Parts: sequence; structure tokens; C-alpha cells
Amino acid sequence: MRYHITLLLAKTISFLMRLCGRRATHLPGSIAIRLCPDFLKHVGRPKTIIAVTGTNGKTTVCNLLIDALKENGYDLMSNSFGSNINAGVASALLHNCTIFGRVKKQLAVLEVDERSSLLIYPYIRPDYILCTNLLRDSIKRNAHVEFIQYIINSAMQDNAKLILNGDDILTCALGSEKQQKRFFGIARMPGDRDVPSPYAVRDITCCPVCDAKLKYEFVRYNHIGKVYCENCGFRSPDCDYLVTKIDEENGAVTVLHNGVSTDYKMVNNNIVNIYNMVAVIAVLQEFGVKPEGIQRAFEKAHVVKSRYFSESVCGKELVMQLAKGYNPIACSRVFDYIAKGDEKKAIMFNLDDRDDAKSSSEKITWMYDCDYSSLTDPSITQILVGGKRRYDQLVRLLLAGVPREKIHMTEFEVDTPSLIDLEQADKIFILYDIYTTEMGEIVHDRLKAKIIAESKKAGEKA
Amino acid sequence: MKIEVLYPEVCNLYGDIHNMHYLKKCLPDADWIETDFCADPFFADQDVQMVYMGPMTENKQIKAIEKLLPFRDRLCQLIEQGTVFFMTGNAYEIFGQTIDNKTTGTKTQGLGIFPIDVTIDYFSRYNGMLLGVYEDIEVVGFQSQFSRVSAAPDAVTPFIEVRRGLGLNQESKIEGVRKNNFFGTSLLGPFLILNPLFTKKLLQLLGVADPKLPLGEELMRAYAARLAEFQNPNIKF
Repeated sequence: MRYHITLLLAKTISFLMRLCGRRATHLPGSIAIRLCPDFLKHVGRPKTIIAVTGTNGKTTVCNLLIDALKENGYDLMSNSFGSNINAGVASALLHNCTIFGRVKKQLAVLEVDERSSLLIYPYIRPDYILCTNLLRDSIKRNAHVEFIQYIINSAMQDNAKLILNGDDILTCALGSEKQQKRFFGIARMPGDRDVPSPYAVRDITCCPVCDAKLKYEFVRYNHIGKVYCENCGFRSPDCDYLVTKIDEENGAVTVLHNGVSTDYKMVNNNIVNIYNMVAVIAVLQEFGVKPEGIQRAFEKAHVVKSRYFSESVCGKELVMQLAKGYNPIACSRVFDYIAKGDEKKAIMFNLDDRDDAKSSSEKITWMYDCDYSSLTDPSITQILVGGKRRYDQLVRLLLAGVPREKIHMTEFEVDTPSLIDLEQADKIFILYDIYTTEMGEIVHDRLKAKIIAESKKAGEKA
Repeated sequence: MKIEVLYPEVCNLYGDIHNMHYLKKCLPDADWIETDFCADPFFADQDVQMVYMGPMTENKQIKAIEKLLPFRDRLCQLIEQGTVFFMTGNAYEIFGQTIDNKTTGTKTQGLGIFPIDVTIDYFSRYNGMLLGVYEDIEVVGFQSQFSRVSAAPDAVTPFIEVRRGLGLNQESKIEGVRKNNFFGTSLLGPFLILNPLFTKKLLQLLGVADPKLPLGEELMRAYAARLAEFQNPNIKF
């Protein structure tokens, strides 16, 4: 009875919000859970639920997965426009059922915040759970990886088939022995290391069985790589879906599965997006989509503009690049990506946390979990730091070994374009957080205007 | 000068290992001993001038106690004779009497060196900042922890008198533990980089007469900016 009244009320709120032009992707679910705490257990459950979780890459994987499923004719629901906590999932499921509780779409792709696992999995019991990786994240939200592992494992139901990153030994440890597990990964590639970088933090260094120091067949970044223990024989699992070739020149990725190699169009050349691709390929094939269908879908796929966007302006390449503040590994990957390539680069280094900057003081510990060593690459000619934490960033950059003359600072992020010497930059990265896209756009527009104005001036002189 | 870093591959959450990276820049001639989680501590049968340990996961706290328990008497001896100990995050908690994890239901005996008891609850994490005083200097830092510490009144000498932020627990206005040159604090992150004035004091304890800090000006500017923020009554802690 309580559930039915809640459903009716939440549906009404959702209807009224939409009437007012709102998306209703969080509040109706939040109210429903407040009124009926086990609302998720009762609300109409699609026949098949694919949950996507992990520290980094959830949103990109969900977007690629949803597009690929649609391309292959599946009618599905998702929470891609809403939050990934229990209220967002409840809102999405609420929209997917009629006022009488009947389910409209029988397939769901749900992005699930790792910390919210306990509030979601026991109720909705996903059929597939894909975990992209478990890495050091926001100190405020996620504490440490062992805690997140504990939360996910406590929430996990045995019915779920797990699709796990086989190159991340912490992700591999998820689930019970009863569960079916499939692993995806990337074979050793040029640039992978024999030993870990001294600058990169690793959240697992000791064998989970015997505590001896883990050895690496290769290490890609942080603790991502293939490990083994000389003492007890423990090792990373073999991957069921293995990227064996990354052909940047032709924009193709080769994936080996069951002894058959298949080429797919590369969505993006950043290694984290190759992981996202192979994760999507793995879950789609486990779900029953044929490789040809996945190939077709990837022909049209791209990383959403809100995460990465590149354009050419008067001969300069402008790149809008999401770099989640408070997330040290995500930022480390971005810095590493920026350092690649020989062209002269400048970075609009605007990473302050929006909410802390307004009313509190940012806990800058993440800067010291983050690997800044890539920023010493000689191709990076200027780092233009804006915001309240500029003095902290200055210290961090100097300690990492960035020469003082390359660092310029200003109080406000939006003023960073005024500091740039365009002659010393062929490619300019504008870093922003998911909560500071507006600031990122202002920086982008100001920078673009400056490039155009200077180009015009140079043209007139010539 | 010999400085031992205990278990750096494990006790390295929240960027704390940069305390030692920075101290290496301050003391370029010191000998640094990094002791693996599988090895016996160097201090067991050698003299050291300083021992450092950073924050770790709650599971690793239990294992660290197991590994250090055979050297409990030696630890007491070193603390008594004035060896510098610097413990950040939850590292100092293992020197207490008990660690009671309410979530997992496990209660572990600590090293029993200080009369403190620790309670852990995974569903009650405290995130905050701290402004406090150590001797004549103001200390700033960050806290992020599942644990609360309890101690009988006046049972321990604190490291920091708290002005704003969490003490040993919600009711407490003292933070951390100090005995001779043992400094234990729940503050985490690059404490020595955030607190250049304390770093100078630490260097003096290690025998540096007139310490000059690398990037001293830049550190002081960042410290002054943070101190001003923390002193602002409108800032949320």
C-alpha cells in the first residue's frame, strides 16, 4: 500500500516537474525513497539490468553502451540524464513504469556510483555488473579503495555476471567464487613499463594472498598492469577480451576473444578510452550482441563533447579536456595524455573545486596523490594557473620539477587566457571539472577570441 | 642522520608520502631507510634519528600492529630516549590500546604504548579541516577518517590544541598525541608542506641549527593564504 501511494505521488511530482520543463531525474526518486525506503525493491524492474560502476570511465562506458545497444535495435532505459546514486536510479525506474507499476522497457543500462552500491544492488539485483576500475578517488567521497571494494562486495548479489578489468587486480577481487566473471584488458603495449613509476601511487602493492611484494609483468599506470607473486604464485587473470593491437595511424583497435581477432574503429586514442571501448565490447558480447553489430556501432561512436572536444582555430588546436578535481588518477591520466606529442603546448590549469572555493577550503591532498611528473615534459611550454588554490598549485608544480618560468598565475580562472603567449603554443588544453563546465566555456571563448584577434593582427602586419 | 620510513608502499594514502619527499629535499645528506611491509624495521637493532609512518587502510592497521608488536619494547625505548617519531593520519592509532571496528565487528589490541582507544565506523566518515596551535605556531590541516579516539582526561599530552575542527573525538579540543619527540596526528596529506613553521621546528629537533626550507617563500605564501581562509569565521569546516 505504502509503495503504491508513493508511486502515485512520485509519478505526479515527476509529471508536474516535466510540465515545468524540468528533467525530473533526481527529485521524484529522492522523495520516493524517503517515503518508501525500499522503493527500489518494489518499483517495476526491467527484465535485464546492466549496471556500470567503477572509479573512472562510468559515464563514457554508459554512453557508448547505450548508443551501441540502440544501434543494434534495443529499446532501453537508462539514468544517463540523471544522477548515479539511488535517487537517480529510482527516478529512472519510476519513469520506466506506468502509474500502475507496469514496466515499459525491458532493458536498463544504469550507471551506479560505487559508494551507492549498498543502496541499489540488493534491491534491483543487476544481471550484469561492469566495473571499469577501482582507483584512488576523492578523499571526501570515497576514502580509499579497500573501503569501496568492501562496499561493492557487501552489496553484490550472486546472480550478477561480472565484467571486470583484468588489468586492475583490485577490480578482479570483486564478487564471490559463485559468480561468473569475465575479464577485459589490454596486452602489453609500447610505453608500458617493467617497473612502476616512482611518482605514481598504487593502491595495491602486496599480494592479497600472502602479503609478499607484488611483481609486474608490466605496469601501465598506477596499479594498472599485470601482476604476479613470486612467493605464492598468485597472478592477474587471463583476459577473455584482450586488446592485442592499437593502431593509432588507422584508428583501429584489435580485440581477441575466444581465439578470434576482430578490428573495431578506435573511439579515442587516450588509453583510458581504449579500456572503456573493450569494456563495452565485453559486456555487449556477453549480452549477446554479435561483433559485427558492435563494429557497426563503433563506426558512429565518439566520446561525448562534455568530456573531450578539440577544434582548430587559426592554426592552433584548442582542446577542452575534462579533468575531475579531487580525483588524482583521472587528473594524472589527463596530464600524461597532454604530455604526449612533440607540439608546443600550453595548459589552462583551472582545477579548483567549485563548492569548496565558494564556502570552504579545498582539501588539497589529491594534488599529492596525483602524478604531476608528466607536466615537466619539455613540450609543455606554459602552465597558466587560475583560482584560489594557485599558490598550492605553484608549490606542487615546482616540487614536481616544472621550471618556475613556465608557471603563470592569476586570481580568477577566467583570466587565464590573458596570460598566454600564443607564439609558444600550438596546442592549448583547457582543463575543467564536471561542475565547472561554464567556467571552461568562458575560458574557451576568451581564448578563441584572443587567438582570432592576434591572428588578424599578424595578418594585417603581413 | 638516519631516517626510517615505515612501510611506504602501504602507508601512503592521501599524498602523505610527500612529507618524506619534501624532508629529503630539506635533508639531502641524510640516510633514508624505506622498510617494506614484509621486512623487520631497521630501528629494531640500529639507531635512527627519526621514524615516519603515514596513513593506511583499516585492514593494514591490523597487519601493521602484528608486524610491530614484536618490537614494542624497542619502540618504547626509542620514544623515551627522544627519537623523533612523526605519524600522520591514522598511523598513530596503532600505538593505542585497542582498535574497535564497529562495522566489521573486529576488536584488535594495539601496541599499547599510549592510553587511547580507537573506534571505527565505516558509515560515519568525518571530513573536515583543522586549525590549531602547537607551541607558538598555528597549524593547519585536513582530516578524513572513519575513526574517533577516546582517552581518559589528561591521560595523554596532545600534539595540537584545537581552535577549529575535530579533536580526538567530537567533544575533544585536543588533537593527536605527543610524548617527548613523538608526534602523532590525525591530520593527513602533505603536512610538512602545508606547515612550514612546524617543519622548521622538526628540522631543529633533528639537529639542524638554522633550517632553510626549500621553496620556503612559496610554502609560506600558500600557508598564509590557507591560514587566512581557516581564520575566516564564514568558512565551513
